Amino acid sequence: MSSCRHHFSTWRKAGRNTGLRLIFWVLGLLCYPSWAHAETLAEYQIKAAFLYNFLAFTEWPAEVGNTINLCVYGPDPFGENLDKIQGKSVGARNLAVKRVNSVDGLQSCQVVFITHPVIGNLRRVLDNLSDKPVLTVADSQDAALQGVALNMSMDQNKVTFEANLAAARSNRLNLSSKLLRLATKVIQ
Amino acid sequence: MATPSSIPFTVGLILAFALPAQAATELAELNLEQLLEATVTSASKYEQKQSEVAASVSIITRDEIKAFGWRTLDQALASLPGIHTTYDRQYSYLGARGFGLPGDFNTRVLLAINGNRVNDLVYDGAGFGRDFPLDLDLIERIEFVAGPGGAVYGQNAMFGVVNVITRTGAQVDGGELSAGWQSPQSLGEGRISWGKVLNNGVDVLVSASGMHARGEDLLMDFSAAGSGESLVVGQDGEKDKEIFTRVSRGPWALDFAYGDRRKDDPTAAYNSDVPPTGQFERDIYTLTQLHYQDNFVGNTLNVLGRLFLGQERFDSIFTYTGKPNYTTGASNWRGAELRSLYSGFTDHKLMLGLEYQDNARIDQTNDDRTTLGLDTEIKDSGYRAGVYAQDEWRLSDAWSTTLGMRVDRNDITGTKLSPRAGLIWQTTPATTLKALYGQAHRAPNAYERLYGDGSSQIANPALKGETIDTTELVMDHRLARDFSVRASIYHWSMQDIITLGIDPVGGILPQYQSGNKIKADGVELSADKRWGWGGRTRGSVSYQEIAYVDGVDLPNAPQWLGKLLFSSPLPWEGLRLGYELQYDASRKAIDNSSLDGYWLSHLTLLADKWATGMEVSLGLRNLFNQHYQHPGADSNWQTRLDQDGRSAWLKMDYRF
Repeated sequence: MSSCRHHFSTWRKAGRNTGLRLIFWVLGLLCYPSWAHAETLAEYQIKAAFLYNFLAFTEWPAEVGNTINLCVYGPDPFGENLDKIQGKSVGARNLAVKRVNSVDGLQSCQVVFITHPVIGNLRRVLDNLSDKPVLTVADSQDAALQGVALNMSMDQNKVTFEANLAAARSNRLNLSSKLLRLATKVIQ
Repeated sequence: MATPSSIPFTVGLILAFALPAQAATELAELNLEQLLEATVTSASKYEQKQSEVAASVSIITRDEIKAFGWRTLDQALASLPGIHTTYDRQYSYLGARGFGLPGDFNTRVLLAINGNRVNDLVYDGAGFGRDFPLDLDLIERIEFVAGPGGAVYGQNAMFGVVNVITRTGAQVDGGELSAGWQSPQSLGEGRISWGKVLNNGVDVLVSASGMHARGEDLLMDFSAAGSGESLVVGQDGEKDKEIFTRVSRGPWALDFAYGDRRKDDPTAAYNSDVPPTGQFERDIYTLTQLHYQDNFVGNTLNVLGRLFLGQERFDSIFTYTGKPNYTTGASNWRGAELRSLYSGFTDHKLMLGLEYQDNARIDQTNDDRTTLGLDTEIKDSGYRAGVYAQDEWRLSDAWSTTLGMRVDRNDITGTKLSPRAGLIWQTTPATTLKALYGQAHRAPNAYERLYGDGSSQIANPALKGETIDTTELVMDHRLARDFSVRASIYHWSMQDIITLGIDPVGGILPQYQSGNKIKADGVELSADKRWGWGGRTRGSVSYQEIAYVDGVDLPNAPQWLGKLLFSSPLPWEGLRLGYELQYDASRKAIDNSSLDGYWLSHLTLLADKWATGMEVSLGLRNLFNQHYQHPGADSNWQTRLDQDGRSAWLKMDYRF
């Protein structure tokens, strides 16, 4: 891994010499798989930070124990961006990140992020979690309208979010007024 | 790429972007106000935004397929600008940008499932009706790239590329049962699917579908055969069986698609005996693909590799002077493709690709079954190889250019070059202008080149390939976040079009020959608007002028096409409405008579909140029972074929 990092810093120095670049390009292939996925896209770094902030502005009922299980449902777009917040504290509770591939596996979650490829299953997710103290988050078009509590979207290369307060309340969650003030739209 | 000075960076973010992996913790410490100001450097390196692609791309989503109740690919694609469909009660044909000659077998549009070619080798055709080997319920989205795609895809990509992306096991996540009924065709269909991500991370999807329709009794015109009109009873049936499996893990995916569709013939096609009894055409597609795609070198290199295996089997029975005539077509192909996309050089995205296809078997037979032995047997085989390169070069913040070229070599037309060039100008963040040029080639297929039985067609082994040149100007403009419009002006010309003529030696029998040059000009305007309450409208108007260079008009080329689609939740518990309006202006039949233009309305109601796991949809196609006709081909007795009147359908989907 470290030799690969060295490889790439040297490669940048190779500059415009096409021949050198080609050699480094071929050598670079050998660095797989340790370098695959190492650099994740900035979009999901920012979205992971949003996600962490959302938790801080959400109030769970007392029945929720000492751990907040943050579940990513569907193919994970965050990668290690989310692992960095594993174990961090949210108020008096600790955060645990889980990856879940099936609607059936969401029972123990306090936060569910529904990824874009499986947003078609949103109705099933919501049916499964009705009445449970779970914060639902997504980043797909119209998701807040369809019942997700917090939905992120991209607007002119910036991340914004909408809130569905009615949905959060039906899951017995309180979203702070500050969070609602910063949302582009709040569905009551 | 934006220069750093043009980006309003928050101090902490400079670090965050420079050292992505380590910085996630720090990033999490930023507060919401700071995050709302953060600029995302790029949404994705490989999944491009529409405004960055040097083509005009349309996407049909699974939600739309459900909202409008589409059960065949031609129904879904007919909603796109500039597309007109034709049905001759055997196959559905896709016309694009004015072009859709009666008797052609969908040879000029490339159809693929997850990037794997469906077009076969004997007829070069792809099925857009029930002969498409995939159940529409298994589609996640359909991508249509209008215009020539020859610079990347080679053969068939003359007017466009349709790539169908399937759902995955993760998306199905459990079992699905589906049952449907349509009247008056007495069409029944069913599907069972199961998908899951297994504990070891393997994503599995398996599905089987079946369909059977009795069809209607139809009044057919056989006056060209000297026998007037007659009611053809029970000859419009259709049967279809489909299997699809997909197994994937990490960068690997294995797809298998199988479809076996048989359509009865009420028209006495290929000038067979009238009235027809027991005639049919049957197509079996078996398509396998092993697909690999992953990113390397710090996400700057994307590698795609495919191994594919395809097989198509066609058979049909048509009766001549009381003798059943059995025709078959069989093709086997296999090959590999390797494509790499490299974005490591500043302001460049470089693509290099190689494709090789071994056309191992291309057989055609014809047999009068009352005599011993095959009457006609034509065997062929061959290969196709292609090398392609493309560079997307970002000249400045506002300007970029795409230059590409594919070199194809095959055993029929030798070496051909398919270049492509595009210039993109992002005039404002909301407006993009694109100037596009592309060329594509098609080698004649085995049926056009080699089929000759001495009684219905003469072979033409020296037949040349055809070439299309397209120039297009596209403007994409976003009026609001959820309101976008597009205007496109195009010109295309096709040389050496492969078309049916009369054998110059005998002077009687038809033979495929290189036809006259065709020129076309057209305009497409479209708009797409979504509302915050969940409604969506998209629509388009297109106009084209198409003719042979000697001024002769083309048949089956509606000058105006209009599409309007509206979907909306209804105030009653869980109901969703889908309404589709379609206008096709008049078309010419092959005898130069004119077929009336028509308006079609289709209505769908979808309920998915009545019971957990249950979806019920109800639809009316051709709501106002509009009478309309499509032109027949030279091989039909009829110059105009009546299309279906109003039909009602009901479909139930259950998840378990």
